[in-house]
Amino acid sequence: MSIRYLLTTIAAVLVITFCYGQQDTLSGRIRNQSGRFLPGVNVTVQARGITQQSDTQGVFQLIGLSSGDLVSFKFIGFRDTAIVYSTGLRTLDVVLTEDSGVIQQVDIAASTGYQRIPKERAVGAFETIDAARLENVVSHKILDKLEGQTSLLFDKAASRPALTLRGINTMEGNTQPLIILDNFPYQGDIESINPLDVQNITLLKDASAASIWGARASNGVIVITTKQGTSGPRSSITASSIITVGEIPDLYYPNVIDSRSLVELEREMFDRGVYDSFLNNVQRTWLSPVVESLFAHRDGRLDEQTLQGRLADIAGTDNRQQYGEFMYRPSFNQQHYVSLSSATRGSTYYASAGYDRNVSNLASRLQRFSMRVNYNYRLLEGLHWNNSLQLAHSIQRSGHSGYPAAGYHDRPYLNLVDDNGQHIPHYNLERGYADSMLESGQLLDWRRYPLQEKDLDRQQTITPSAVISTGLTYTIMDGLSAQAVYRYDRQRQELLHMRELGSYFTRNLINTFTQLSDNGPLRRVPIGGIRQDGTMDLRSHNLRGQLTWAKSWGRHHLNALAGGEVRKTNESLVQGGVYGYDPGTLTSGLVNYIDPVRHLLLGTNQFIPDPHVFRSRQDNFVSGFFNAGYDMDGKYLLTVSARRDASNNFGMAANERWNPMWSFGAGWNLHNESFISQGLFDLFKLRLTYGMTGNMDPSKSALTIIRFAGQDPLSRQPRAAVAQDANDQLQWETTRTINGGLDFSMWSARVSGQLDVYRKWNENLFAPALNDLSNGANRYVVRNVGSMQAEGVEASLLVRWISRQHLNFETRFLYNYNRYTVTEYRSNFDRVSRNNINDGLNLLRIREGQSLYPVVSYPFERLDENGQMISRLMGEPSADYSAILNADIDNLVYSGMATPLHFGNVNLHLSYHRWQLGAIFNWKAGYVYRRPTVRYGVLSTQQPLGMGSGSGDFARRWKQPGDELYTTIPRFDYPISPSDNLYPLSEATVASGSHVRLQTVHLLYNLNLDPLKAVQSVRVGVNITNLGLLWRAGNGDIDPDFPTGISLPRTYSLNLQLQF
Amino acid sequence: MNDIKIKVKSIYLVALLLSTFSGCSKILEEKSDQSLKQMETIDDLQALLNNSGIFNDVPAGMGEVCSDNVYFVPDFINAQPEFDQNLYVWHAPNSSADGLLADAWNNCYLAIYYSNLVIEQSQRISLAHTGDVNRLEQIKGWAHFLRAYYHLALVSTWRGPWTAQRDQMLAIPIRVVSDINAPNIRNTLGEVYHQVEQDMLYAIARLPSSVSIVTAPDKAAGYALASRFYLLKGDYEKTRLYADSTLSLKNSIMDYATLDQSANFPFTAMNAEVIFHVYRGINLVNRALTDGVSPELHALYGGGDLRRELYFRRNPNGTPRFKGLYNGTLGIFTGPTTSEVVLNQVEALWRTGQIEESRTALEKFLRHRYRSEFDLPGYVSGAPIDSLIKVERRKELAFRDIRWQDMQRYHYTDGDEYIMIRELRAEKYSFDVANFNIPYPENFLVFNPLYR
Repeated sequence: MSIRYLLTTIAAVLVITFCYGQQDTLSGRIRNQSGRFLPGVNVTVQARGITQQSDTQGVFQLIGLSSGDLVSFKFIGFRDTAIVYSTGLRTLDVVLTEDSGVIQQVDIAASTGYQRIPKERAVGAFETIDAARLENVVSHKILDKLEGQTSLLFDKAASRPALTLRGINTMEGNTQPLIILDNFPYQGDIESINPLDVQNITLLKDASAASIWGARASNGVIVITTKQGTSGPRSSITASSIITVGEIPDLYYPNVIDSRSLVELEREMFDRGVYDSFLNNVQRTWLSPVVESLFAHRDGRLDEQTLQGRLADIAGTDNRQQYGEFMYRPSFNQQHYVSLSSATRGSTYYASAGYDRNVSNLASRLQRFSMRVNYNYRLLEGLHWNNSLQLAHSIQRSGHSGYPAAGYHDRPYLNLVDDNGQHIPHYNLERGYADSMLESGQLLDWRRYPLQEKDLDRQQTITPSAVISTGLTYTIMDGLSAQAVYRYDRQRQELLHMRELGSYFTRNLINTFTQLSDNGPLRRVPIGGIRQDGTMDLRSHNLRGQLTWAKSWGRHHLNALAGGEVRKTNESLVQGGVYGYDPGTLTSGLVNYIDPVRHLLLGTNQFIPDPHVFRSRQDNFVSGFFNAGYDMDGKYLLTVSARRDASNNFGMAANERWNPMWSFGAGWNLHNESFISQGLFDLFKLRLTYGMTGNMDPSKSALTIIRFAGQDPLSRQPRAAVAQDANDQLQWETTRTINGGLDFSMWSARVSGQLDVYRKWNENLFAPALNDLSNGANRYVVRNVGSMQAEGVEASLLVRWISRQHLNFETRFLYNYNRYTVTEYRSNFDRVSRNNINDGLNLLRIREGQSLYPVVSYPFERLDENGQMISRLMGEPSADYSAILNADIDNLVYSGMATPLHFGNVNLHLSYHRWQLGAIFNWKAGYVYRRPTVRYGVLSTQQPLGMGSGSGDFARRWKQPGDELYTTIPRFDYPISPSDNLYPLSEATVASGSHVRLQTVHLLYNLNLDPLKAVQSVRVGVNITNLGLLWRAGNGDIDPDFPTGISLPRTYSLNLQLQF
Repeated sequence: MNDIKIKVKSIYLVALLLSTFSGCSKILEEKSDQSLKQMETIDDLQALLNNSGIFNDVPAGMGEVCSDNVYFVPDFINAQPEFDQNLYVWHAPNSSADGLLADAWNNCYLAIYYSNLVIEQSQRISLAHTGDVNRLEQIKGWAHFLRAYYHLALVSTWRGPWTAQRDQMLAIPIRVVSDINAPNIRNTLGEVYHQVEQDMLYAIARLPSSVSIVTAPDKAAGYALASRFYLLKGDYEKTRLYADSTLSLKNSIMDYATLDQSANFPFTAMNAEVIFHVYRGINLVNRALTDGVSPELHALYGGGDLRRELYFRRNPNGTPRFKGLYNGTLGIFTGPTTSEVVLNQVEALWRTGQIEESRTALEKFLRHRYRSEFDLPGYVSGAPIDSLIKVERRKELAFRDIRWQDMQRYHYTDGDEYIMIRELRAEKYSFDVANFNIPYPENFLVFNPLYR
């Protein structure tokens, strides 16, 4: 009796819990006037607190309605529509009419790589950008397209992280944001992804957004979602071609000393006997033609008139003209692309193929084929099968080496080609010696021909890659679905560096290791080319299982997902090479790597470099994750997220210590409240999140790790060294973030925007800690002793000034503020000034209370009436250079950060009938950089880096009394004044980096044809990029993004797109 | 009913998904970077010991700079860095000028750290892994030898020889574990010498009878280290015993008359006398080779002494420059040699009362160091045995980082006094053997206040 009662109760409970039959449902399809299905339409039933978006087929399904409920349909670019539900209505076809001519931005849901979160439900800090806006920037690399359009900071300095989101979160660890391609992290070459395949990109900025990625998400996450195929009754085919031509960069931009001044300087140094010890010395040091002529004149081999004539010729030569003519050329890039997007009943697919061909200013070439097929198929009711295949094959070939803006053997008066068109030989060692040794046949030609090197010293990289993914989604019951996804990434890089016998490197190496004797030359490096081959192989398996659950009880709604994933990545490098390579007979020579060889000129014993390298790496991860979002009435939102990772990198003890990464968030959709006027606010949301993410560094381990390092030169046996000291106290780096945000949209999205204010604490950072020398590890041992703190603001505003049928004008403003400081770093006790100078370029000399890249300089007061530098010591003017070099760090001047405190962009977009015009402005402010200037000690002797950016200041130095009013560059003295160690690193060389740049301007003509004809639309566009600086703080010609080297030249693109 | 079926199905699915992750522990055990590895096999341990940069290339010479073999003219020393100046006038360095003193200290402890890693791991390696018991025992011996060698190098430089009255003096930390987080305790001079002795004897029992290249120690190296050790300990009986054992294995003494006096470096690295190869000097001792040879030292080499031409040549300004370096190039050599062992034997014979045997052994040795026409027997029998031995030892082992220890031994054992006066920046500093010990690196004291 009791058992039956029990069973009935259970059955009743089950029935009540799982049975929905009593409530009303309404489903249907939403399409536009052309019949095309519309995904992502907001379907809202305010009375029931239901919010939904139509799926990829434009289908929506509402449950739990009652008679009289208002069902509204909203979609950006279309007029709002609503119907009143009455019982009995089961299906409904909805047609939305377009509101304005062209849609620039579709309000898309945020993709996290695990789920799509519509804006209504989102509580974390997300930023989204779709394909239409990505087209505003022309590039064959997807990440570059984000410049000027998002909160990502692009840093052009090669030594700092190139791409950061909300600043830098670590000192020794990885600084790159995690990049997700569809579902899984992508570790391959980012250039293998064709940007035209990308549907949208979501940036996950705070802990709530990113904590689902756990221990790899501290630097933020970039989720790239590829096109899956549009819905609709007809297929669409798109074909596009983009041709880009780029100007030759401005070779006169680097501040290099001019020929006339250099000749004067060389004369003066000659008169002082600086070059005397180099004449005919054992090392056969190179002397410039100026110096050689002066010696010849002194020895009586050259008369005065010829000397003056020759020096005048040299002084009047500027080789930049020839470099621009013979070595540089306009760049020429082509991007061709065709895609097919289609849907049938039950399946959608997207297929594309692309061909890119780029030739750079220096004739380096890139050729890329890419292909993609994304196929989604409904196997059964409730069972979907998704497949994706991405193939790419790229070949890169090197070009010329470029203008040698810094080089010992390069002088601004050394041309490339003479009047008869013959290549002028350049010398890296004494001209007479090289010529005579060549003539006698004892050595190979030791001269260098810069223009020929491109074809004789070649590097080639071939990168085939494949990404194959397959997944199943199964709806177990209403609201509960299970998903399994597997992806295989495979990428090879085949590197070939071929240095033929004719290349300077090879001839130089052979000569250097030649031993001269009476019986003829004995060559320790055989005659022939030097060929180096390398193969890098990356293989990655990813498998994820996930359960997703969406449930509503009256006013309450719950979305949850949970699952686990496994990832195995193997990366290996095999590299080898041969000397004496003959491509004709495919043979090579033998080389002795074991015994040292005497350097022909220096007399030292050296080893012939062994090109063999073998490396292999296996990274395995196992993770579990959970994420849930709850909302009531569509107004009050709560989310929670957690993830735990384990890896093979750390030893089991460390794995046990891993705390899960977690986050909490709350949100309030005020626009759904009755007290907020519906007509005023389409969206008004407040949100607050707090959570923890991690930064996992696979190279840190709890166990002693040794590395094998070849053969020991003394013991002649294989040797190993300790690569990592066992330290069971090591932990993960963590980042806690608290983020408060406001999203709003007013007057039917005429004005909308987002504001985020955040604070971050980076803790347990790996940093070198001063070590007790007696425990045998190095002076510094890496421990988790660092911490940093950051605060920031992100604000974006979109104003649609004019929003009519045929005329639209909108402006998008984006503002970012990020300030971070090192709060704990206990390894830097050195307070001596000369050890604490900082250019903000490299991660050195980290100090508490500063950012990672501060600019710290010696004080500079002025020049005195003799052109000497006056600095400051303890607040008083002083020229005691030695004391200033050794003074306490308090005597130094802190000028600011080298990374911008404020930055942002402004996007303008105007459309009128069929025309569109847009512009992107980038700006950065609140930072400084050090201007390179002349270094007399380097310029006046024969030491390397004789020229280099900044040496042009030589002409602007103090020369006579009175000049101190116009210049800060001290006088030139020989012997060199000790101020030469101070001035180039003083505050006089620091400049503000604030600037506004016009990044790109584009003009588009859109010919929308009859939808029933074969060709539906034709678009023609023109895009100009790198138009230059509109404003910079201070005067001067330097572009703060490129203080040394050469700045980016302007490029012009023509873009043609057809849609069938 | 359908719903219950669905529920069951869903539970099954979840269980299926979860079970795929249960067998995941293997995945977490795979190695990551495969040129990096944990120490697992004998070959791994061997490779660590083969690292000459760790074990054979260790800066030394602090003692030499403090001894009477070195003298700098004021003009020279006034221009040197502050750290070098402090050492020269027997003062403690200040923290910012710690410099190379800390490097020398650290390099010795680095060698000890590597030895400890090998010793600990060798205890963990099971026989199944190795297949070669002998080889494992040799590796253990080798590592113990190095640990003994470098503890001795540290304690003899920083605290000098052992004497009974100084047995309880605070010395240097003994490190016998590799854990970098393990703290140091106060170790006395006696404890350190005891530790060295134990490691050394353990090693001697296991070292191989010969090696192909003397960057690795063989039994002769073990015996040679022991003779050096017991001399420092003042146990002359054992000194003699081990010196004899060394010489029974390796006893070749080069005839200096056959070497090229005009060469810049007359001696090649790992020559016939070298038993174990260790080299490198701190900056100041390298400068001393060229600019700081004590004139008093140079004057000791008389007319018939071949070492006068082989060890020295003239600077352009006439001062002597030392070139008798057993590593074939610039940088001092500090490893044990047969010549050093012979002199240990000679001194041990003398101190144990066997004067005649001592003179005989000394004469036999000096035959290789003096010209054939020189009256060697007259010289050897003519002088008092103690001063003869001390002078010849000083001349032979100049710039081998041994003089400093000898000076202290002679002071504590024989009561010898040394008067050294050095000038720096117009101030004069005098020296007192009994009251000066080379100071600890400042960085070390920051972490080990027990040693202040």
